[in-house]
Amino acid sequence: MTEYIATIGLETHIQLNTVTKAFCSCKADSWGDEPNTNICPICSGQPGTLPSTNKAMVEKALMLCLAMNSNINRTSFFDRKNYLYADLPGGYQVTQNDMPIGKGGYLDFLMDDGREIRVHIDNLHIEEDAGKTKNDGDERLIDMNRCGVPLVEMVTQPDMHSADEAATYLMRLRQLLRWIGISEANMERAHLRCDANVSIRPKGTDKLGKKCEIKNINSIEAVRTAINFEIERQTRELDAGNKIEQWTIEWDNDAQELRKMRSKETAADYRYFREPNLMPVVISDELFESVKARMPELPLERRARFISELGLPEYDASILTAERDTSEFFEAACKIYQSDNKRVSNWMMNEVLRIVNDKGLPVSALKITPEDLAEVIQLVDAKKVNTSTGKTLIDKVEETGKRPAELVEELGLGLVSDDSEIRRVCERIVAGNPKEVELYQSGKETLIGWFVGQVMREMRGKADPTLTQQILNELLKK
Amino acid sequence: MTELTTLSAIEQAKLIREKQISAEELLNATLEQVKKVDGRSGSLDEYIEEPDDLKKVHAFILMTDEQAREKARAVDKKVAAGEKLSPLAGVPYSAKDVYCTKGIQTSAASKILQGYKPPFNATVIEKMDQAGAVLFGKVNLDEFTFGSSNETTAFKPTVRNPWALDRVPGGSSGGSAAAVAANEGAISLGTDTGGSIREPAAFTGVVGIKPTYGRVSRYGVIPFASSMDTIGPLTRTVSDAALVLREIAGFDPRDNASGQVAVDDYLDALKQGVKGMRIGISPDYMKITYMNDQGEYDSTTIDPDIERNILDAIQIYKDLGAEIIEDVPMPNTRYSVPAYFVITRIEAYSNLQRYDGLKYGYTTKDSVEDMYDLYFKSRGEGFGYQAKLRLLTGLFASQEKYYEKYYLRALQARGLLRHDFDQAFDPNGKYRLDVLLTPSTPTAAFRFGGETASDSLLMQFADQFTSPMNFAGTPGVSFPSGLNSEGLPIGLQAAGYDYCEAKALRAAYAFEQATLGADWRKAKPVVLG
Amino acid sequence: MENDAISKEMLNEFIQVAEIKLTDEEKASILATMNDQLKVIHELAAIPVEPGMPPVIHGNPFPVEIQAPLREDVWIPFDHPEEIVNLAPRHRDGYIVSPDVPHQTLG
Repeated sequence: MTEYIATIGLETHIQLNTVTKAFCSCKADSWGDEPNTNICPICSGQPGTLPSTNKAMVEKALMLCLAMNSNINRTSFFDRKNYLYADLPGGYQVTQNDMPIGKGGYLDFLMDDGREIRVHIDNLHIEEDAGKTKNDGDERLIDMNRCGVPLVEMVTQPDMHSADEAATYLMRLRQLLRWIGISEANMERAHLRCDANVSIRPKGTDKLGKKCEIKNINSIEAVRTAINFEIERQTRELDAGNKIEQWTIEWDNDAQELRKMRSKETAADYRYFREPNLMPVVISDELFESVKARMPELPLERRARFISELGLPEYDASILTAERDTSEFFEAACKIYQSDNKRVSNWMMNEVLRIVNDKGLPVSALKITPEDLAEVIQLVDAKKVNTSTGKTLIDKVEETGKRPAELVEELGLGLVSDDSEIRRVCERIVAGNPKEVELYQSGKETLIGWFVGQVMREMRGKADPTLTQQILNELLKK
Repeated sequence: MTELTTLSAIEQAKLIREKQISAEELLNATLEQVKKVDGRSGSLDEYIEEPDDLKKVHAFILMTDEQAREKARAVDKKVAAGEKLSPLAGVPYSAKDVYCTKGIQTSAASKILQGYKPPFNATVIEKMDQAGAVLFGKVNLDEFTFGSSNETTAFKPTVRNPWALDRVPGGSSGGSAAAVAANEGAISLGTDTGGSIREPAAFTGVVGIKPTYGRVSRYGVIPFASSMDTIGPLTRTVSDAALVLREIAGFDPRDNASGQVAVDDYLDALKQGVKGMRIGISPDYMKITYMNDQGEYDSTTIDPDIERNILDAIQIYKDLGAEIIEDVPMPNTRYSVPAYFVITRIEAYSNLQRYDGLKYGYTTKDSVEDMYDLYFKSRGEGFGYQAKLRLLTGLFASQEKYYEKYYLRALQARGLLRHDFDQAFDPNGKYRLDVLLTPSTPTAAFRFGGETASDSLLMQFADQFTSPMNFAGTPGVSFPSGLNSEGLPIGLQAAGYDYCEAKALRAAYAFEQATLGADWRKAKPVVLG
Repeated sequence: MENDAISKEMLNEFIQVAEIKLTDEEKASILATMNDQLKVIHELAAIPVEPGMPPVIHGNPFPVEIQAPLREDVWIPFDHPEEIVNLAPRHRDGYIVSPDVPHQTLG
């Protein structure tokens, strides 16, 4: 059997989280809206209407260019891509063809096995989305709510070689989009959609095989499945001695199957030409600088800084930079705590992210604040509470939204470090357990843990454990 | 009563303001005039010619009496209440049927838009409304503005020239020109992509202005070629054109290709006259240049009457104190025909993509196999011959493999042609023109189905003196300048530089005022006789 | 240049792409006219443009000072979206209705 290498390039469509559509003042997001209720004469293709370019769309596209290390065309142009289809009311899509806002660039990311991957970007361009159609018997129902929603299409070079790499790229991209705040990147809601160009070639050969384009892959899982299906299909074809034909294939997620699209939709000359109704997008120095100033530190940069400046292990740094708000929460807590960052990291990963997972909310939506976290750790450090109380305290803060110190006071969670009170309990325990005392004194010194436990139980965990042990040792060695 | 309809818009507005007539009276008079001269309105019904059709103008395809009456009464109420009136309060006007009018049929003279009632108004329709003007009907045109004779309309009978009923009114704003010439309203809004306001204006003896591209919003006006379409009025006097332009001009955030340039008071500017104005004449606008079968440029003379007419006009301007600059070279004019051809076809092809039989307008009554079959049949049945021809030519020329050879080259040629205008109007250059004076058309109105009408290539030559301005984006006013030996109107064009409509209008006005008593002005369209 | 002449087959392809059904007479006439008009298109070849000359999209320039600003991202809902749907020759439950588009399942 011949072994094959797969080559994969992705075209991602990223829905920008602007308030309004690309070229009209309808709202961009129609999630949950009735069909054709979020439309106007412009996005529904009424004759004589004209587009006008959304400023926020340009700014967000520019942010993505900066994040992807792309060359930015300070003057870019809109073009018409002409084709007829039920979901395209104007008969052409307004997009950017030969002078898009961004050219080149790359995204670096780590695979789970630690491999570092760089996927190069061919270009980034702004375009409007098409509407939605759905089957109803032998008819198609058209909903234009999504017509004109602003997208950035980002095309990668064929730098990926497995479905897993493609899926990871997409996950990292999703993280980045949320990080810079330009897209909700919710794949279930199709904020991030993906077409994959897949080809295979026998191992040891250089020439890329004929590629097929899989359209409409709309979840990370679907990317994995659809690409693997297609690699398997192409492998079967080649193994059977057949040639691969350049097809456009649609991924039907419900049926979990690939479907070939009718040739009419694939044999396309889109007859691109400049959209005369729109002026070029000119990014002035002023606009450029204001957007640049709004750019946050990016995940990989922050991860590196967490390792070098904050002294975190790579694992911690990766976890804590998976989401922007997590990293910001963590860093804010470190600044307040002003001591062992690794200690903050442990608390963050074990406690705060536990709540995040339980609640399914982002860190920024929690009641607990970086001040609270730092305070809890400081309470533990100062032996005002022990570690397990500290953990409880975090949950209580999240439950009530009250400050930790306040809760310690209110619920009486503070550690007792009053020598006399602990001594009194210790004396009572020692006096009440002569058998254990005898065993201890005959050499079974490990029993000290049992004695501490008894005292703790009596004092409902509020005794300072170090002090308790000290007193017990003193009493038992008499 | 019909006397009222011979007045200019400015005079009509004055009478209303002075309470000498009511807006409703004026509307009635206008509707009466339409009844008298227009004959049956153009429609999509199967057309069987009746003898009476040949005696009427047929400018209109839809009357909007009801809405008009409501608006006129509202104006009258304002007058009665002593409220401040807008400049065009109570003045009836018509619009070429490419202006989208909310809830009112808008057809682009095509079957494909059958029954279409836009859910919105064109910006200019709103501006006219704010100016107090009363829309009383929509006029015929070449289908999707594709033509220079009005013969390509799907709405029959077609418009006839009020001066000679066996001749075309010009196009594509032929309905507008004919309506105004026949006193069916003092104002009609047209559009101009290659001469579609100026050519019919010249053919019917009225004034028409094509402003700078970007001067008047195109929002809501069904396009032909979006990079060249302009919006402007046709009127009987230069002052009316100046006033209407002032009311409709200005930046519109809904038209991304409109310019943020202050609007001049064109009406006020007219008084400045032409003394000291530099008026240029170009040899390249005194002949028709074309490529012969051997692939060489050849030229042919224009109608001698038209040549004589422009020479007379030059004398008038000299007498008025203008400085005449002769021999202004505009050598790239000849390239405008092929380049214009390619660009307009490509843009038109794309602009026609949206008519699909699904969203609005006409859909096939035939059974269909699938969505594509529905497109195929609806578009095949809905578009007329000229629309199909232009669409398919555009589709041919826009093929990716021809991009550099055709489209790119045409856009580069556009740069050359623009250069002619930059040189001629450069305030520090050799010619320093204020206005370029040209014939509006190389001939007067031609006959129906005649030599020019049957051949769409020759029809392009009808545009040779007007399409360069669409190419360059610069303004031009066509104004009546006399009659030819057959008694047909001819027009001259005062062309200006970017956003310098005021100068072009001044030149037109000066000529108009200087010739008010001329004999040729006494001649009237036959339908008014 | 003359090899660009449009054949019957090419016209048939254009008709398919354009989605315009033509009668046989229309086909014959349009084919003849288009080929005739090619002469005009081919005049482009005689225009002395230099490579690298910028394409001019609009004749008159739009310097930034007069160019329309980018649109502010403010939602202005359209009053009557249902009027848009009601324009459609066929609509149902708020949707515009089209005949289906066929596809083929891959084994």
